[in-house]
Formats: sequence, structure tokens, C-alpha cells
Amino acid sequence: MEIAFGLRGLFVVNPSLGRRDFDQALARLEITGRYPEIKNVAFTRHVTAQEKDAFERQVRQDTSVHPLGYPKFAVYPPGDRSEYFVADYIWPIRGNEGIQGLDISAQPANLASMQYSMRTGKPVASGPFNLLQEKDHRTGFVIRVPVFSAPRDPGSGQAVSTNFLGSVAITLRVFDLLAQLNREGKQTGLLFTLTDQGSSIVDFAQTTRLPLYESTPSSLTQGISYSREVDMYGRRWKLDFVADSTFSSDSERRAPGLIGAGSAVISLLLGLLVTLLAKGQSSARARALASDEARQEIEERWKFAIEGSGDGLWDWDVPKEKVFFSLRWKEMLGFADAEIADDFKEWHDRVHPDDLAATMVRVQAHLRGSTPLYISEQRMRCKDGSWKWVLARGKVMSRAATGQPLRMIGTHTDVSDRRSHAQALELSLKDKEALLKEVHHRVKNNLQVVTSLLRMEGRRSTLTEIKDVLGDMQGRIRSMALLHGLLYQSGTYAVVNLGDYVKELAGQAFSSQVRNNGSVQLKFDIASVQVDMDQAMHCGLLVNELVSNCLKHGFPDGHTGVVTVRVQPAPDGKLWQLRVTDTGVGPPPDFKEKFSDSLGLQLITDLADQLEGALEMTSFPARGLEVTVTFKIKEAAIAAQTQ
Amino acid sequence: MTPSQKSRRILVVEDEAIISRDIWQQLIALGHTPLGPARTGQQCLEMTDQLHPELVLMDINLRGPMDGIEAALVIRTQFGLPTIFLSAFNGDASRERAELASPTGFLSKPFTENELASAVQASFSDVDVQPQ
Repeated sequence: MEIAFGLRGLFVVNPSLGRRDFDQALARLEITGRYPEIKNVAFTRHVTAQEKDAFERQVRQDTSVHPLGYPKFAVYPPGDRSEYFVADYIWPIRGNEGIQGLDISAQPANLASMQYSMRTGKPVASGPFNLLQEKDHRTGFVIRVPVFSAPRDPGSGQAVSTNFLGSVAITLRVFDLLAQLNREGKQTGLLFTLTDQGSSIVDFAQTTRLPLYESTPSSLTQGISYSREVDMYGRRWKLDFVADSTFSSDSERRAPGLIGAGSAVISLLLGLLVTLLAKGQSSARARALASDEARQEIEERWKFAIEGSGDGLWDWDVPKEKVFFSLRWKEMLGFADAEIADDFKEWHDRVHPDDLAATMVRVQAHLRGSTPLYISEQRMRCKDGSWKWVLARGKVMSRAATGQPLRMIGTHTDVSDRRSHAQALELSLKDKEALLKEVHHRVKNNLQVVTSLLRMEGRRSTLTEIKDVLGDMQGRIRSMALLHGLLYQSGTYAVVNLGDYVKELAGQAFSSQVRNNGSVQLKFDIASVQVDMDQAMHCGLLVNELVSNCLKHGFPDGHTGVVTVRVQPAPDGKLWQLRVTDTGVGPPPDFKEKFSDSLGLQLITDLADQLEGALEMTSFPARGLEVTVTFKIKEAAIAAQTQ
Repeated sequence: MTPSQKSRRILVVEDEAIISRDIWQQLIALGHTPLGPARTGQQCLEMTDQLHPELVLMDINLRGPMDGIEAALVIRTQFGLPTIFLSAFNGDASRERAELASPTGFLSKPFTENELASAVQASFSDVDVQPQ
């Protein structure tokens, strides 16, 4: 019985006590050795018709004890009933597999006693039945202790079924229970039978009397016979016994002053029964009460200290969902002392909806023991409807033996000022980013419009030279538009991947000049590297000039070949090289002097200078041109890359 | 225009006037018949209904309540017409979403006449050619 009450205690602390917790609690009790009369312990769960499907699903998937869960689990016997009392957690499961899922409400007598227990909160005993797993002395009975999710209010007799979780049922073997009397020598000279006479709670006509126990027949024939009926948790048990002189004198010796052996024996037997069934719980309660006063005084002191610091204080009784909020806690949100109750909801319902989920995750993590401290910043609604940023810190101060948190204490600090500064900064940064993004977008669009204007002008012109010049201009502007497009898209607005930019750009320069006859191919040999906007622009214009140049001069009259664009680290590993090679006809060896006044060549020199790079141009007659610019990538871009 | 290329009626959907005129001229240069231009998604649907184009050249990033991708989805489901998307550049984030409208091609702005010519041709070939 103390076990049943103990388990009920676990459920009171944690209404969602898991299968695994149940198993572990029982393992700790060492039942087999210490309480041989207990054959099994089960938690029978109260399940309503609406909850049934979800409940079955949940048990099937419950892998906390058995790795595979219970895929075949179903409430039986099948059929729709308004409520079910289903054997859910069972110890030991071995040998009792068949019980799991049994709904006892299919048995009228059991249902009645269960409902009685649910209504009154009192333990009930079942009628006797045969324990199938025993070979002899099979008689057993069950005692059920009802479990409620919150302590019952003794004053209100009604509507308790709302927080009724189920009951802890302990199956006892009568023989083992009374064998203790034998071991202690208390049955000497005594012949007795114990019979179940039926229920004292509900009026189920029980015609047969069910034997519970009969002591070993002995030679005893003569003696005083007694008969007494007792109420045993809602069952009428009748005790008949015959005692001979040995027993009578013995009992008189043990209980001098008792008048008549009969009452002495009954007292003894019942006393033993009741002790066996109900020892325990009261001592724990006494211990708890004793230290209460001393503790209260210490608490007053530290609460006073925290209030003095300007922080609010909260003290949470986790199982009861009751919270003590200090005066300062309430003041912080603009409330007077009497305006906030000691309810968990008072805090919960004031957390900003956008912050609630993240906050609850932190609370749960700490309650579970995953974090050493609970720390969270969230907005809380003030009395006037405004929001205040609050830094909450707390810690679980006590846990039940099972690890369930019982009490958590913490503080609230007003951090509105700090938050509003940080927020203003963040907003201005966001504004700046948005502006920058918009600028890149507009520059890109405007440059595209310029490209279109140049193209339309070129289309109109009949002079080849003008067409060429306008075409060159388009290519240059397109290179710049593309860079702004990439910057707009990158989200950093300061650096760009040179490889991506160059590929895209060379592709565009290429397709603008070559008719799709496939005579000249474009190839890449490109590593990934970040450069800042200026260097990217210069590299881009350079590549545009070089690629256009190759196509314009390298492959006259349907010559075929390849243009290769290469961006790779220089052999020394520190500098980078941008190289454009073609396999065309190649310029004359004196091309530098010959074309010194061409804009393209001038631009190439200028752009290489701007990159602070070294420009090498090598002409291989009849084998093409190779142009290399070796330059240093600016530190800022490298730093951005490593971030 | 190679003999295999037929003149097509092509609706231009582009909200930037100068760029749409440029595209218009490019289509004429390629021997096609440009229609429109439509400036919004809604206008594009009306013109598709009235002008009976064979192909729609659609800017992905249209201003207004209906962007190019939504308009293309309607054109595809209601009129069964092929669409070529015009996007700012290859890496445009909206391209992934644009794939939902199963365009027959993508053109990165600015594009050349060659690219436009191949994209138009591919839109009418049985082979599913994706222009670069």
C-alpha cells in the first residue's frame, strides 16, 4: 500500500509520468525481495472516448522502455465505450504482456469500484480471483489507489473526475500476505478462513462467497470459534477462526488486559493487515512539516536582499503552477501588489507572443536539466499595454527523487534601455543595407538602359565604324551593370566572387560578338576568390577588353580556335593572376607600337595600373596572344572572405 | 534568319520602356512580329487574350501585384503558350521559383540578338533545348 501511495505521489508531481520513470521507480523498490506478496503493479489509465485513438497511437510509439515500442497495442476488448480504464504501465511486463491494453470497464464489478474510487478518491479492493501464474494458493486481489493530477480538495466532493488520471493497481497474493503471520509464529494454534462476502460499496448481487484464505488444516478440532466481518477497502471480508488453548493463552500473553481471545485475535490480524497495507506515508509528511518554520525565515531574508537590488523576484512551485511574484516584479510591469495573483499564467500570458516559444524552450530545457541556468530575454506586457524588455534568470532549487523539478527561483531585470539602444543600432544598419541594395539595383538598371540606348543607336547607324564603337561601349557598360547586379544579389554589397563575375562577363562579351557558328570556343580555368568592388570593376573591364580584343582580331576569316580566361593564384602563392589567352592568328610582333593609340590597348594598360598589377603581353606569331596581369588582392576583401 | 526559322508573333512584357523598345527592335531585326509591349502582369494577360501571340517574352521582375512568374503560370495554364523569361542575370534568386512556370528559355539581360534568336527557335522545337 505504501508503494501504491508512493507511485501516486509520483503522478501528483508529474501527471505525465512516463513509462520509463514508472519502471525505474519500481526497480528501485526491489519489490521481489522486499514485498513477496506483490505480484504485479500496474498503472491503469483513465482514457476518454475522444482520447482513445491518440492514446493507442502514443503507446504504440512509446520506445522509452522497449526499443520497438508496442506496435500491436490496442485497447481490448474492442468496442466503443464512453470511457476506458486501460492497463498502461505494468511491472513486471514479463509474464504480464497479456494485461497491457485491458480495459477493466468491460467488467461491471470492476467498473463500479473504479468509478467509486474516482468519485471519492478512496482506495478500493477488488474481489478475489485466481492468479494464473501461480501453481497453488492462487487467490489474489487487487488494491487500486486513485491518482489525480492535482491534489484533491477535500472540501469539494464533486467533479473530481476532471483531473482523474487513473489508478495504481497492486496485485497481492493472499497466501504470501498471510504467510508473514506464519513466519512470525502468529498462526500457531489457530485455524482460520477468510472469505470475501462481496462489495460494500455497490450492490452487486454476489451469491457465492469467495474464499480468500484457509490456514493449513491441523488436528485442531476443539476450541473457541469466532466470526467477524470487516470492511477492507470496499470489500466485506469475513474472518472465521477457531483457536485452541495454545493460541488463546499465547495471545493473552501477548496482549494482556484484552478481554476475550476473540477480539484480541481480530485486532492482531487486522492490525497486521492494515500495517502491511498502509505503513509508510505518514512519517514522510511529518518530516516535511518539521523544517518548515526554519526555512521560511531564511527565505524572507534572501528575498528581501534581492528586492533591494531592484530586480523582481519569482518563486515557482512547478507541480502546482503557482508562482510567488515579488512586489518589485509587479512594479516593473506597472502593477500593484494585489493586481497579480500567484498563478503561473500571470507570467505566461504577459510574455510577448513572438518571444513566448523561444522563452518556453529555454524554460523547458532548464526544467529538464539540460542547462545549468535559465537565462532568457523577452518582452513583457505592462499594465498600460506597452512592452518592456526583461532579462529573466533562474534555477531549479529542488527536484523530486525522480528528477522532476519541484521549485524554481529566479529574478527579472529591466533591460529596456539597453534593448532600445541595440534595436536602434540594428534598425539603422538594416536601413543602410536596404539603401545600399537599392542603389546597386538602380545603378544596374540604369546601366542596362544605357546599353539598350547604345544598341538602338548602333542598329540605326549605317556606318560600320560607328556600329563597332557603339558595340564596344555596350560591352564596357554591360561589365559594370553586371557587377552591380552581382553586388545587389550577394547581400554583402562590398565584395564579390571574382571567378563568378569574370565567367558571367566573359560569357556575355563572347556571345555579343560571335555569331553562333561555333568556330571560336570560350574556356575557363577559374579559382574562387573574393575581391572588393573596385578591384572587381577593374578586373571586369580588363577581361571585357581582352576578350573583345581576341575576338575582334584573333580569328579573322572564319579561323577557329579557343579563348581561355584564367583566374588563379600566381606561382608564389600570394599574388593572383588574371590571364586571357587565345589560339588565334596572333598580332604582329610590333603591335604595341602599332596600336598605341587604340583605346582598347590604353584601357588595358590603365586598368592594370589601377590594379597595381604587372602587365605582360606576349605575342606568339601564328599561335595567338597571351596577356597576364599579376596583382595583389586587397586585405579587406581577404578578411571578408575568411569571415 | 535561316529558312528553318519562321516569323513569329511575340508579346514583349517589360516594364522598362527603353529596354522594351530595344527588345522590340531586336525582334524586328530577327524577322519576328513584336506585340505589345505589356508593362504589367495584368496587361500581359489581356494582350495575350486579344493579340494571340505565339510566344511571350517576359521580364521576371515586373512591378505591381503580379510578377512575371505568376503571369507566366497563368499564360501556360490558360493559353498553353511558351514563355521565355528575361532575368537580370544568371544567378538571380527568382530563377528557382521561375522554373515552376516551366519556361522554354531563360535570357539574361542584356542579351544579344544571337541569344534571342536561339531562344525563340528553341521554344518552337520539339527538342527541349535550354539556351545558355
